[in-house]
Order: sequence, then C-alpha cells, then structure tokens
Amino acid sequence: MRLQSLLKSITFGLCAASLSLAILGSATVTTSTSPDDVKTFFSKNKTKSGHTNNWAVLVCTSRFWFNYRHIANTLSMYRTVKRLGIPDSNIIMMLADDVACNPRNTFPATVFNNRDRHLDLYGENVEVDYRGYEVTVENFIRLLTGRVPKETPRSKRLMTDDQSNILVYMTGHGGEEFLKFQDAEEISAYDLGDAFQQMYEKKRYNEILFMIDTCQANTMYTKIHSPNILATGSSKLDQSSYSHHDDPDIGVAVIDRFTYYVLEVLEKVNMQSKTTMKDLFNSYNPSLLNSDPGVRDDLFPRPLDQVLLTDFFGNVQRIELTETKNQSIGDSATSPKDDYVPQEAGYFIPPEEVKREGNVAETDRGQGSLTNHMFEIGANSESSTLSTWRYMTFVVLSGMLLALVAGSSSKIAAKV
Amino acid sequence: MGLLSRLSKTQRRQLFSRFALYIMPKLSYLLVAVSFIWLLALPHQSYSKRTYISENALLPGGANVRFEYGDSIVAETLRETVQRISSYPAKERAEALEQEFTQIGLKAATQNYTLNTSTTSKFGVNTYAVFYAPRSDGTEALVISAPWTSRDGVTNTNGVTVLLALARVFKRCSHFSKDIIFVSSDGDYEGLQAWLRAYHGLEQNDSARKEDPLTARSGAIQAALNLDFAGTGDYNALGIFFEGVNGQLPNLDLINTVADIAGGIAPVELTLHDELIPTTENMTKNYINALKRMLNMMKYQATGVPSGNHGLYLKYKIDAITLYGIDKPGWNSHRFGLHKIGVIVESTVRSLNNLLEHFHQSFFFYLLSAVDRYTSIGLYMPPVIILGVSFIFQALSLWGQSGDLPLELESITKGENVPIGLPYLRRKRNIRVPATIVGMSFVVGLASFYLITTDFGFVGETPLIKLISSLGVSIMLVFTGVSSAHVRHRVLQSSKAPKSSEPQPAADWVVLKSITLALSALFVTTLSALNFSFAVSIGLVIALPYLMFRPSRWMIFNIVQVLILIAISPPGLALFASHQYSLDVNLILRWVLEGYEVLGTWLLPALCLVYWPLNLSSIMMVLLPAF
Repeated sequence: MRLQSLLKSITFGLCAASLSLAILGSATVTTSTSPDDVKTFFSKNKTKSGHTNNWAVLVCTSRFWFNYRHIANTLSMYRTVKRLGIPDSNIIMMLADDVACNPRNTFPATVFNNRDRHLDLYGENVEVDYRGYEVTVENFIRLLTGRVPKETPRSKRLMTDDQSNILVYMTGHGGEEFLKFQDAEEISAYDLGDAFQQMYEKKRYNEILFMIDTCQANTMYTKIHSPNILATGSSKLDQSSYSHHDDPDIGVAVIDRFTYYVLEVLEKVNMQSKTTMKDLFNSYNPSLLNSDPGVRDDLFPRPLDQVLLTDFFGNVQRIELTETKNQSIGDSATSPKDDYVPQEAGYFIPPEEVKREGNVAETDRGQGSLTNHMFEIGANSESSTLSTWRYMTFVVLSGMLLALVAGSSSKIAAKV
Repeated sequence: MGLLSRLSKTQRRQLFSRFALYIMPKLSYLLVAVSFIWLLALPHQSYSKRTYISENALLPGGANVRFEYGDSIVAETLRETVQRISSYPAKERAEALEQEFTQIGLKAATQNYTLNTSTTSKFGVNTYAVFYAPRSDGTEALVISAPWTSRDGVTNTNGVTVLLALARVFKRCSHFSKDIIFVSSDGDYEGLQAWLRAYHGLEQNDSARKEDPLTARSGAIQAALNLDFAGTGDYNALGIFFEGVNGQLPNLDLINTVADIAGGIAPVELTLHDELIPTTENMTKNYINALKRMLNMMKYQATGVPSGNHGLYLKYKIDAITLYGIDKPGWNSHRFGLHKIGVIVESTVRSLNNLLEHFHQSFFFYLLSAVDRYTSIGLYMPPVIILGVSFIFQALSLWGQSGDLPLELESITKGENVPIGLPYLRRKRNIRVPATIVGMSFVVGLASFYLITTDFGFVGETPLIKLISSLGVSIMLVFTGVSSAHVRHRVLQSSKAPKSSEPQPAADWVVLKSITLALSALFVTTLSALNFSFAVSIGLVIALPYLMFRPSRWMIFNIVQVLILIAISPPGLALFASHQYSLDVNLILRWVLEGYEVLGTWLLPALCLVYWPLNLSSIMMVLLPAF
C-alpha cells in the first residue's frame, strides 16, 4: 500500500515535470520557427508604427478658477484616451488646479466640458498624478526625460521604452515659444525640444504626438528636432486661441475651441477605428477655431494617411517575448536605477551616432538597436551559460517538488 | 563740447548767468502756460482712453444671477417692513433690522457707538449680519453696506431693502468663496467708521470715541459696495461715487465691473456721481461735458472728504464704491426698481467672488472724464511737476541774484560793459530777516491750527470765532514782521557810508521770495503724489501771484497785490466758498473741521500748517522795502 502510493506519486510528478518542460520547449520552438514574422511584427516600417505600448502625458498648466476650461480640456483628453484603452498606469495627468472642489463651483465635485452638462468629466476613477503646485516645468521635464528622484512613485514616472508611442497634450496660457506654468514660470520651445531630444537619446519613445492648445501654440513645436515626432497646435504666431463657449450657470468658459473640435473627431473613434491622423488634421476648420491650427510632420517618416488615431490615442496589446540573451532589456529600459547617478561610460551615445542609429533603426529597430541597451555588467556570454545551468537546476528541482506535493496529496486522498 | 569749451571760463560764467537771470524767469512763465494748457487738454478725447477690464478673474456678467422675479416680489414686502422700521429710534430700528437678518438665517448683531468731536457729539447703532459661505475657509469677505440715511438726506429705504433681499438670495447659494457681510450703518460717516474700526480691532473706548466691539466677524474684506437708493420709488440712472478720504481711489476694475454689468446683463443708464448730461455728437459740447465731469471728480478728490460712505473703506485698503440711484423725473431712460438693483449688485458680488487676490491689476490713480473714459497718471502728473519746476526756476534765479553768483552779474544784467573784477567776489547774502519771517509764519500756522482744532469750552464757541482769532494772530505777525523789517532797513541805510567798498547786499524780499517759491514747489509736487486734485487746485491758485508779485515803488500796486494774496488765503477761500455755495462760513468751517476730526482728512492741516504760512510769507514779502 505504502510502496504503491509512493510509486504513484513519482510517476505523477514525472508526468508533471515533463509536461512543464514540453510547454517551455514548445514556446522556444514557436519563436525559432518564424523569426521573420517577429521581426516585422515589432519593427517600424512605412505603414506600421511598430510600438508595443501607449502612454499619454496630459498637462494643464494653468491655475485659477477662471481657467476652468483648461482643466476641462485636459480631463476631456483624459477621458478619451482612457476610453480608447490606455490604462491609468500609462497616463500621466498634470492638473495645476482643482476646480471641481473650488468653492466657486456651483456644481461641487464636477467638471463639465459642455453647457449641457451631460458628461461629468470628474465623475469616477480620475487619477491625477501631478496636482496643484507639483505641476512645474522642472517636474514636467524630469517626467519626460525620466530623471526623477529615486523616491518617485510609479504613478509619477513615465516608464516608456523605445517601443512606446506617447501622446503629449498640453494646454494653458502661452505666447511666442513659451507656455506659462501656474502664472509663475514658463517652459520654452527650446526646453521642450531639448527634452524630446533627451528622450530620443535615452530611447524613451518610438513615436510622439505632441498636441498643444494655447495662444500662439504652433510656435511651441518649432524647436523640436528629434525624429518620429508629429506635432500639432491650435494657433499660429501672433494668434490667440479662443474658448468655445461658456456655461452661464458655472459662470466660466468650459472648453477651448481647438480641443472641442479635436474631441468632436475623437468621440467618433473607437478602439477598432481606422480613422487616421490625416482625417483629424483635415477636420481642422480655421473659421470655426478663429485661429490657424498647425501640423508639423517633417520629423515624422510615416505618411499621415496611414497613421491611425489609435496609434496615439488608443492602446495596443501586443506583447514581445524576448529571448534569454536579451533578458535584461526590459529592466534597462524602465529601470530607474540610473537616476541621479553618474552614467557609466558608453551608455550615452554621442548625438551623431544616434542619428545614424536612428536611420538604421527605422527599418530594423527590433533587434539592431536592442543590443545597445546591454550595459549591465552581468550580461556577457560567460554568465549566460551559467544562468542556463541555474535555470536547468531550477526546473529539475521544481519538478521534484511538484512530484512530492502531488504524491503526498494522493496519499491523503487514498487515506480518505 | 565744441562751442562751450572754446569760450573762456569767464565767458562761460557770463553765459550761464545770462541764462539764470534772464531766461529762467521768462521760462518759468512759459512753463506755467504749458501746465495750464496741458491740464485743460486732459478731458479731451485724445488724452483719455476707454476703460477695460484688466483683471481676468472678474468675468463680469458671466454668470446667471439667482435674483429672480419672485425675489423682487418678496423684496417689495421687505421694503414695507424696512419702511416701518425706519421710523423707529436708532436703537429699536437697529434691533428690528437685526431681527430681520436673523429670520433670514444669518448671524446678525448690533453695534453702539458714540463720537465726541470739538463741535458735536454723535450717537448711533449699526446693524450687521454675516453670511458665512458654506464652502469657503472664511479668510476673505465682501461687504455690502447701506446707510440708513441717503446722501439726499432721506431714508435709504430701497438700499436697506436690497440688503435683506440679497441676504435671502445668497442664503440659497453655495458658490461663494468669500463670506458676505451686510452692514446697515447709522449716521453720516461716523457709523460705518465705527464699524470698520471695530472690525479691524481698532475700537476705542475713551472720551472721544466709544465703539462696541463686534460679536460676529469674518476674514479680510476684499471689496465693498455701498448702496444709496433713497426712498421707495424707481430710478432713472445709476450713479457711481468713488472718491475716498484724502482723494484715495478704488481700483478702476471695480468701476469697470459695474459698468460692464450695467451695460450688459442688467442694462441701466450709468453715470459718474449724480450728473445726467445728455450725450451729443458735438465735439465742443462733448469736451465741455468731459471737463465738467472731470472737474466734478477733482472737486470731490481735492476736499479729501469722501463722496459717500464707500470712502471710509479705502482707508483700510478695501476697494469700494457707492451705487447711487438717480431719480430725475422727465429724464429719457428706462426706469428701474428693486429687481434691477438686486441683479446689478448680485452680479457684481459674483464677479468680486471670482477674485483670487486683492484688486491689483488695473489703475489706482486715474481721472475719469466719463464712466468709461480714464486718463492715467502718466498723462496727468506732468503738468503739476511742470508747475513745480516753474517755481524752482524763479527761486533759483532769485537766489542767484541775491549773491551766490559773482558780482559782475548785476552789471551784466544792466547791460553795462564793465571790467571783470575778482572772480570770487560775491555779495553778502542777508538771510536773517527772511528766515525769521518764514519761521514765524509757520509758527503762526501751527498756532492757528491749534486754535481751530481745540475745544476751549467757553460759551458761544464756534469755529468762526476761532478762525477770527487766528486771523488776528496772523495780522499781528504781519504787522510786527513788516514794521520791524522796515525799521531795520532804515537803520542799516542810515548807518552805512554812502560809498562803501563793500558790495551792497540784495534786498530782503529777494531771498524771502526765493525761499517761499522753493517751499511752494516742494509742497505742491509732494502733495501731487498724494492727492493730485488738491495739489492742482492749490498750484493753480498760487502759481501766478507767487511768481509775479514783488514789492513795488508805488503803494497802490502793493495794496492790490496784498489784497489778492489775502483773497487766496484760507479765510479768503472760506469766504469765497460760502459765497459760492451760499452757505454760512461757520457751516463750511464745521464741515472742514469734522472732516479732520471724524475722517482724518488732510485739508485742514495742509491749509493751516503749510498753505497759510506760505501765504503769510508772501504777503510780508510784498510789504518789505523794495530796495
């Protein structure tokens, strides 16, 4: 009886171990059988963005009750990107003021973007990551470039990698080549261009859509010089951007024109939609906006009629399984270890080199560029064999453990 | 450098002295003319700009009002109550109103005060109620006040009614970021003054003032509206009074906000003060109307006495205006009643509620030539400064003549071609007589100020008697000063050898006039920064007499000059005012005195301590020996 149950448990355990091995084996088999598919699946080409994740940075830079509309603008974009599938963990929302809880708000704890007040943008599950006085130029640039203090929580980090598509939406009061933050400071177009270049050098994005709704907004994207960035603004130099309408019960303007008409397009878009950027840009109507909106696509290689709105406003669910030798990639791309620590030599690639790199990467970004990420000390060939052995031992040991557990459980079952 | 450097030192000196002695006095008259013309040009269309809302937060008329038709029906019933209450004695009246506020659901209370001045004693009771905004932190407040007595002298029935009606409406609302305080004050100015002093913890309890502390309070007052809607009828137009104590002005944005609302969501005819002038297309008429309005404003500003109760708030850095209902039967405009007043006030309060910080964006220094046209400080300050410069030019020229410049100058001025003597030989300047005269004048000024403001307590004491006594003191001064100067002059003349090698000192009047002009320039320019209108009116009155007058060989000229100087002395001005407004001199004096004692205006101190002494010095200057 005792012997029999022991034998039974051993066979059962062996079966389980072989099964798990088989599953692991089959996984390696699928990747190895069709490498071309994988390459094209994740690489960038003329029609496909090739990104694996989506992020949104939504910034309202103005305080004060009378700037209600800027908060409403930002919350409207937040609602849209969330509706199209970007989760809160991938949305960084900066709101410089809390109009919902302002005592002047006739409808406490709500923010509306329309006079009809059908849609409460502040309804439920709104996650504001940077609020009030946290919305500063410094915090914004640190967020983009990833140079945040060690103790920064994950919700306040932009944890993107070279396969992230990022929507950067900004609204507030601006002027020629600047955008005011909080009535106290301003970010210049040069700061922004520099931040994007740093993001590019650190491989923090695949593509960026920069959208800005402010006075003289188009001047803000003139100083961007990094590749794969598509930019659009609400008004050209020496033009103001106007509010769309006001709600006389709340007593303030509730939304800006540019955002209003962008939302009008976005509201008709769902996750499966094939609406393209070109459709959005074609919908701009200067006579409705009272200003001349602008688009800058010279840094953006893909034709706009093949760029889906959902490439930026929506989310993709593609998951890339990396091979063992590239195991550290995921860590390095998102690792916050290097914050405030002098970078190791060779990690920062000189700009010229990057430029060439970038051109190559356009056709074959998936594999070629990944090797450059390998900067961790343990990631050489010697240690990789070691890690394989460790892995094997782990599998065998876990198989035995499983067998033991199964055996004992069957013993208990037999007793019963 | 070209021409000047090639000239010899002496020639240069001659050139400068020619400028100093010939050109500067003439230039000073030219500057006076420039200043006069500039002042007259100010009301013209091209020197004023349209007003505009500068503070983005205000959003005037942006929100729907909650004061509805039903509320105006209720207001009419409330008006009957107010009318009934208003006939009660002060104490009962205040308590009845407190009761009304309590019934609405506000925290209300009353405040007793007594004020003793050198002329009268005043007692009264204020009522106030605080509406605590349900969602605010209570650090800021707005005030709506209505005195029981209107500026017309009748009961401010509609004004007080609107307080109650608005309190009812506000009680329903949750959108206030600031508490709203309703104050119904007793008396002329002293009631609100007592309340404001107590609100800021400055209440006194002594023989001069007895002010009860307040039992209900809120935060720092950001702005205030004072309502003056006399009687129970309707009105033709809405007038704005804005001049405060000592010519302080509220931020222009406050006036702009009301103007925007009165031109937008609650259309009523709006005007400055209580003047209704028909609009014309005629350029000249337009200019004259604008000049009239500007002069009217300057009149209110110059006296330093506020044009309404709002002026008291300004002393505490609270921007405030009075809204006044003008009832002019036969005037062609839509009449309005309680409903529209309620809407205007509520909408203004809603705008003020939007403020994020104290008013700071728009102008604090301005002249209004219409309710929507202003002249900014950059345009109106230069004429006063130019006037000051003209005084200084004359003073410098006289000072140079009296001896600072080398002696040959006198020969140069006479056109004689004399050989130049010792380069540093100067005339001895006799400063003793002028300094004594100026010093004594200021002492007399101080003495008359003391005389007028002190309560001696004898029977039949009136301000007029005190003024006459101080006039006696100053006449004594003039007499003694002038006669002793003459005696001294005679003695010196007779004792001196006829052909002395010592150069003759300049006459005493030259130095005296120089000092008087310099002091006048100092006075006018300094005052212009504090109270522009006051400085302008004083500057205009004294400019020509002080610049032109000098002792003459002919007695008749001297007498005419002295008479003119007496006419522009404070007693002369008081007589002129009493004639102009057909009031008793005593009343005018009492009014000035009360302004000083109750409100702390500078009119009396400035006239007694600076203006009169300078006037006395000038009179004595004219009477001094000519040589």
